[in-house]
Parts: sequence; structure tokens; C-alpha cells
Amino acid sequence: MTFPKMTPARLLRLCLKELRESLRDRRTIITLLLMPLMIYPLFSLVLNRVMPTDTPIFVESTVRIGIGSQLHESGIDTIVLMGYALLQDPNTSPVFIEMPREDRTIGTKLMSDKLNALPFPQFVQIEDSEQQALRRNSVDVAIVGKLNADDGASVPASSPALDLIIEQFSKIKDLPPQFSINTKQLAQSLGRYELAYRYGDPQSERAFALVERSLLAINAMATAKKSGSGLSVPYTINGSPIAMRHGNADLLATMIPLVLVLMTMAGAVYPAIDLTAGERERGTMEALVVSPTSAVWILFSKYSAVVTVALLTALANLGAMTLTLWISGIGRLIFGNSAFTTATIGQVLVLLILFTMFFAALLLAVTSFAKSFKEAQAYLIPLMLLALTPGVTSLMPGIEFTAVLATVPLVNIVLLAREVLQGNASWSTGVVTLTCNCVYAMASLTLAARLFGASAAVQGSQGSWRDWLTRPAKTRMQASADQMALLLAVIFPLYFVTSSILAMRVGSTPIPRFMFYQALILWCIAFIIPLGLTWFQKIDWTSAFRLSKGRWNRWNFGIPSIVLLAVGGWILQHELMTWATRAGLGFRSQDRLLATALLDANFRSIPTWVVFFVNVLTPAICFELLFRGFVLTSLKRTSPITAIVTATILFGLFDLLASQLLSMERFVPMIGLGFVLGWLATQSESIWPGVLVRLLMLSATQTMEYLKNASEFMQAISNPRSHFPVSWTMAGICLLALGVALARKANSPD
Amino acid sequence: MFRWNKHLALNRRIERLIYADKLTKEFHWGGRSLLALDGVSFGVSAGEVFGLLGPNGAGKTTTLRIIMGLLDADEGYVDIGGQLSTTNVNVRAHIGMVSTNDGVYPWLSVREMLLYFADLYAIPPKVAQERLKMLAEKLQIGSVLNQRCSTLSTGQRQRVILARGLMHDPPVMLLDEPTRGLDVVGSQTVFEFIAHLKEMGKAVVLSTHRLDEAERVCDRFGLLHRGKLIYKGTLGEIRKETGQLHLTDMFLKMMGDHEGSKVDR
Repeated sequence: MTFPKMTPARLLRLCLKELRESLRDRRTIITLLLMPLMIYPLFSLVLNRVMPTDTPIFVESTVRIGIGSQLHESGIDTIVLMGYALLQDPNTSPVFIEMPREDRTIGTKLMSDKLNALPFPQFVQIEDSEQQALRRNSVDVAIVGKLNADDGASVPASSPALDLIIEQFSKIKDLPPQFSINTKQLAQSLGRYELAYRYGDPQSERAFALVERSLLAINAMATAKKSGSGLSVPYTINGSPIAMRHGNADLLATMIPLVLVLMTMAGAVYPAIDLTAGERERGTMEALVVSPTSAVWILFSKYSAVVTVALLTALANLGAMTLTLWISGIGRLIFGNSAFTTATIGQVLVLLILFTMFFAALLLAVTSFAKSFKEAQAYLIPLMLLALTPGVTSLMPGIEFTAVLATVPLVNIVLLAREVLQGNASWSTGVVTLTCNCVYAMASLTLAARLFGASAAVQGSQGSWRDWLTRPAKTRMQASADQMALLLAVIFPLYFVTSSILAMRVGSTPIPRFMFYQALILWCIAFIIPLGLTWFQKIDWTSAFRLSKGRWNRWNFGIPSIVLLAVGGWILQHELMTWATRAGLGFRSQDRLLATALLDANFRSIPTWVVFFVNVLTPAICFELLFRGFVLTSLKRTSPITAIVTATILFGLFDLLASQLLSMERFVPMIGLGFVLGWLATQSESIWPGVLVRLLMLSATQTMEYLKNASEFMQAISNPRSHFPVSWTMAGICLLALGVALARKANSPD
Repeated sequence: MFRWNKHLALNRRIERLIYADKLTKEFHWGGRSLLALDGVSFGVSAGEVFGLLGPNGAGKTTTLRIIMGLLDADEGYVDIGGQLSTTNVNVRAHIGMVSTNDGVYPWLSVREMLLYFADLYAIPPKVAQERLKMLAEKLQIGSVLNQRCSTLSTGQRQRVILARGLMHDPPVMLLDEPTRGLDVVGSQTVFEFIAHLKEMGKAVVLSTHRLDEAERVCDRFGLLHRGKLIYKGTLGEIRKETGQLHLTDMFLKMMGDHEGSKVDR
């Protein structure tokens, strides 16, 4: 079966037709432009109503004033305390209230109505981020830092104001010994300070007011006698509302990305229906599917149009949301100052692109099945509800973005967007989210390609959902690409979730048993589940997993080639890993680091056969069965190079999740290894040469682990951060090349 | 033996641009089955219009879909210009199909839609523009080329659909009840179009249950009844066989004879 060659120019024209058709439809424009213009101002109004009312009544008698790391030695705590002392003194306290309003240069948030009785200030030195401390609720207000000395008041060391302050301070008795300040410090302390507090939290606002009043009291004292002389006030502050208390901020910080995601979904729905079910309804589908252009290309052009329209919707929504939250000031209150940088908005956009790619494919898969607009809408309502459920779940208070949640579609995007907006995003969950969404998108797209146009010609007997639910009559030699994609969409997250749950039990389970469970999970995921699929779908399993000896007739060439490939591959794998580690690609989650550390510490106490079974035999066989067997054979209809590259990328991604460490540094060498093993399996039509290569390589790695403390030399070469000598690397390349040449010989007939 | 067969096949291909051999198709659903086609064979030469006649549900559309390669026959095969349509998707590039249910893209202009189909058939843009110009002249749609398809009248729409089927200049044309729902003027356009196809030397299969129009434009006929091709030949041959003057009477007699023979069996 061949199709006319698809050129990029032709594909572009096909994509443009779909996009043109979508964008000319008024209904698309309404979702694209009008909805964001209406929704977000409404949203900001609701938030404005929600935020001030949803706050607890304060009862605390002290307020915690955080001193930012830049100000630990500045003496500002002493200044505030001095001001507090002035406030306590009935002779000095009222003075600032009598000041003319225009002289009140300190802040604007005088909350005298709430400040019935002065709470006692308690100073806390903040070691990390002031914003985090506020969000954690470990301080009520944070004196973040001193702003530019030129910005605001600056008083020379010998100014009359300073003399006055010193004079007044000398009168204050019973100052605790830790609050001492000398003249030089005092002179340097004058200026403008940034004061961060939680908007909408009375306790925080009360603390803010206390600091403000204390400094105001000092100002008033210093300037009272010189009123009207033009003397600058010694202390001024900039109020910086950072974030609400944890629960409220989280709720709203999740709600905003959720609304963004839902609006993006809404933008994609109409074009997806119109370009698939709509084709059937207006009678253009049959003309499409009878053309010699492959349905995959036609579907791709439709996919690109849906993704583009959804992205335009996402952009319009992101723009409208940013503008609304910026103008209303709510964004800064919810997410803090970090929210509205170009980089953050860019990151959120990337997440929306990722989500759009997945959701557009899912929509096309569903709507391709429908025969009319009405039917497509009937299918999409449950899908939208299904998508809403995890989205709304992510709004629940206290939901933490864990690696397991990073595998759940939609939830992962919403929570990751929340983390990005709050400036807390981590690489590990980001990579899991990215990987899972890509796999889900691919699976949905292959499913859509299968369904698209099929029932235009056939009334339900070919290319339908039923294919997966009924056993076919005839036995096939390998799985189809869509069956493979669907299988991977199931086993990727399943493996990650089960191995993450297992990692949580690392301290409470004996190490050998823990390792055995690890192996068991891998066998189930990589072999048992695919085997179940081959049984149900009547696929010849020896052929699907390439279990025969294949074309390797000449083992006198085959065995040396396996050894050479293993040795050369092992050296190059180490080099690539070292390069990637040094490039800083590695990162590891705490759970998994603990699991690895425990395994390392107990490595010698674990029976050798357990180590061999779990760390050598299981990965060597399971990965070959799944990727060079099941996945590679399912791609037989594509060109060998496309099949090898696809299987290799999938292998690299799976290894990334399966490595138990989420180690990005493994990805690069695994891609190289996957390519060689893929080539070997395609050449030999068997997984066994690859299994033998992997067995040798993994055995070498485990042996190094045992011997790494035997000598300095072994220590040096087993260190993942140290390169091998250049001569070793060159030898590795030569051995690999020789291994490839011999492997080709092993395939030739006797 | 092999050589002789090959030679025979080659001769047959020259003689018949379309050759359907013993097509059999059975549909299954919900535990029931329907024999849609039962050993249907016929051939169509270049410059010939073959009328596939039969009542609703006789198997006409199924036959056309098998010819297009959209459906696999359970038994039998279709040979288009020497290539099996079921195994070679490229055969589709040599077939044009116009169906009664065909629609247009409401938001695209006629020009955009026709060029889109040219792209689907991998026709170079320059050639596509020339074909568009020629077809617009032939089918009198030049004035509506820049008009959105949603604004076309029924007749204009039908002419655009016919132009779409010819954009890739296929040697084989399949017309599935092309006049259904059209008025006299619209039907006349289709007849003129079929005559034009014949002039251009195309092999045409016209599926219809309108015997009057078949009588007017077809060179030969195949009468399909319940999945079986109960008769094929020219109008003169059928006339001789049945002793009837008009195709409608012939058809009814054939169907009656077929039903009778089934009862006898």
C-alpha cells in the first residue's frame, strides 16, 4: 500500500485549508475572542468579593515580624522596637495622629479601626525567601529589604533628625540587651523599606500596621520640632502585598489555571467537532477518504488546525487573564510578585501548549467516531465532565503536586501551572507531566487516525472502538501501532504510580523484598500486560515479541559482535552519562534519593542472585521484550528508521520514569543505547542478541558497583562524574563499529 | 500457464478499464448477516457508460465502494487499468467518485475547495489552476469561483461537486445516483456532464434507480437485485431477451423472473 508522497508544501496547504475553514466560522471566533473578554472581568469581580470575606478573625496578642536575610545586621528590628516603645508611651504615642495628612509619607494602610490594642512585636530572622515565610504563615509581616537609598528619605550622619532620634533613644530605658544600635548603624538604617504582608489576612495587616505605626512614631518624633523646615522623614516604607494565607491562595492560584485550561478546552471543542463529525454531516467525508492521501495526513492537518485554534484561544485567554489580574491587582495578591514576569507567563503558555496538544488529540479521537454534530456533542459532554472532575479535585485544599499526580491528565497541567505561578515548580514533576502528556497525546492521535473516516465507508465493522473490545477472528503476527500506543498510554503512568507507591515503603520493607517487588512490577508492566493484550487480540506472541532466533544464522560472528557491542556500548554509555551529569541534567526527588541511598548502603548485604535477578536479568529481558519486541514490531508498517527512532524515544522516556530516580542524565545514553539495540533487533529479527548485549552491560555495571572500593583506579572509573581516558572512548567507538559490522555478517545466510 | 494467464489479463485490461470479478460481500451485525453482493462480475471499457441499476438496497453503493477500495470484498476482486483496487491505494488517484450525498465546505470559496481536492490528489498547483480554469468553463461555474460554497444554489452546488470529481482528471468515473434531488434543469446538467465524460474517453459507472435517465445515457446496463447481477447487456439485448419496449418494463420482468426462479428452486 503506497500513497502519493507528502511534501511539506502540500501538507502546509492542507493544514491551512483546515485552519481557514475553522477561523471563518463565527462560532469559533465567539469562543476565541468574546468569551475571554467576558469571562475574566467577571472572574476578577468574583475574586474581589471572595477574598476579603473569606478571612478568619484574629485573636493573637503578638505579631511575628520577619526580618529578611539582607537586614539581619541592619538594626531595623531595634528601630521598630524603639518606635513601638514610643507608641506605648502616652506622651509620644498620639503625636503622629496629629500630623497633617500630607506628611504621612509612610504607606497608606493605617488600619486604626482594627488596631484596638497594640499587639506585641516578636522578631523572626528569615533565612530563606520572605515570600515563602509569609505563605507558610511562619511570619505575619516581613521587612524584605532596604530600597535604593536615593529613593525616599536619606539623612546624612550628622543631620538634625538623626541627632534627635539618638537623643530620644538615649532616653528609652530597659531596652533588652539584644536590641542595641550604634550611631553608625542608625545612620545607615535611615531610608525606604519594602514591607511584605498577606493581603486579606487581618493578622498580617495588623502586623503591617504595627510596623508602619512604629516607624511613623519615630518619624513624628524626629520631625515634630522641625515641622515645616523641609526636613525629610527618616523612615518610609513600600507596602508589598505578597499573597493570601495558604489555603485561600492555593484555591485561587489553582482556580486561575483551571479556568485557563477549561477555556482552552472550550476553544478546541467546536473546531474538533466541525472538522471531523462535521465532515460527515455535510457529506464531505467520503470524498476525503476516497482520495489517495493517507487518512493520517488528513487527520494531522485537522489536528494542527484544532491545536492552532485552541492555542489562539489559550493566548487570548492568557492575555485577557493577565490583563484583568494585573489591572485589578488580584494577580499579585494571589501569586505574589513572581507571578507576572514574562518568563512565568511564557511557562504557563508552554503548559497550555502541552495540554492543547493532548486534548486536541483526545477530542479528535472522540469526534472522529461520531457521525453527526449531535452525536459528537453527546460524546463530548461525558468527556468534559470526566475532565472537570480531576480539575475540580485539584481545587481541594491541601492538594500537593506530587509525582503521582503528575501522571493524571489535566490535573498535572493545572497543578503545575499553579506551581509555576507561585514560583514553586520543580523539574521532576515538570518532566513527568511533559512525558505523560506527550504519551497520552500520541495514543489519542493514533486512536483518532484509526477511527477517522473509517465508518464513512464501513458501517461499524472496521476501525471502531469495538476492535479493542472484541476478539478478532483471525490471528495476526504483530500488534498495530494504535494498540501499541494505547498500551503505552496505560503502562507508562501505571508503572510510575506503582513504583512511586513502592518507593514510599522503602524504609519499612526489607531491601531484598523491596527489590523483588520492583522487579515484579517491571515484569507485569513490560511483559504480563502486553502478553494479555496479545492473547486477547489474537496476536501471535512469539512474533509480536520477536522471540524466535530470527535471522542470526552465523553465531561465530554473532557472539563476538554481542561482546563487542556490549563493551563498546558500555564505555560510550558511561561517557554520555558523565557528559550529561556534568551538564547538570540530573535531578532526583527526595523519596527516590532515599530509596537509592538505602539500596547503596545495603548493597553488599543483598544476596548476589537477588541483585542479578533484579538489576540485570529483569531489565535486560523486560525492556527488550517491550521495546525491541512489542513496540518495534507494531511499527513494522513504517520505515525501519522511523520505527527504530520512535521505539528508541519511547524507551528513553520509559527509562526516565523507570530509573526510580527521574534522572535526566540517563536519557541521553539511553537514547544512544536504544538506537543500537533497535537496529540490532531489526537486523536480526530477534530480541535475543539485544538481551545478551544488555545482560553483559548491566552485569558490568553491577560488577563495578561491587568492586568500586577495591582500588583507586576502580573508584575513579566507577565515578559517574569522571570521564574515561580519551583512548578508552576511542576504543569504545571502534569496538561498537566492529560489533555492528560483525552483527551484519551474523545475519547473512551460511 | 503463467504466461498465458498474464497475457489474458493484459488483454482484458486493455479491453476493460474496470473489471469486477465475482464480487461477494456479506455484512454482519448483532448476530445477523446480510449478503449484500453475490458473485457480481462486469467490465466497463474506456468511453463507455455502464448503468448499475437496481432498487434501493440492491447493492449498488456497496459495489461502487468495493471498486473504490473503501470496502474489501469477501471474495472476488476489482481490476482498474491493470491494478487491483483493494491492494493498491494509488488506484484511487485514477478514480473519481461523485455521490448523491456529497457536500461542500460552506466556509470555503469554490476555488479554495476545488484546489484543496487537487492537493489531496497531489496535483501540482500550476496544473491544478489550469484544470480549475478548464472545468469552470466546461461546467459553467466561472462566475461562482470566488463565492463561498454556502451561498450556492442547488444546481451550482451539484456542478461544483461534479467538478471536484474531475479535478484530478481520472480515467474512471463512478457516479452514485447523481441526479437524486435535482430538478429537470439540474438533471440536464448531469446528463450533459456524463456525455462529456464519454467524449473524453472515460469509463463511467452510473448507479441509479431512475431507469428513464439510465436509458438515456448508458451504453450497457447491469441489473442488480438483492446482491445479484441478474442481467447485463445493451438495451437491444435486454429488449430481445424480455420482449419489452421500455427499460422499466424490462426491469420489472427480470425481477419477476428472478423471484420466480427462486420460488421454483
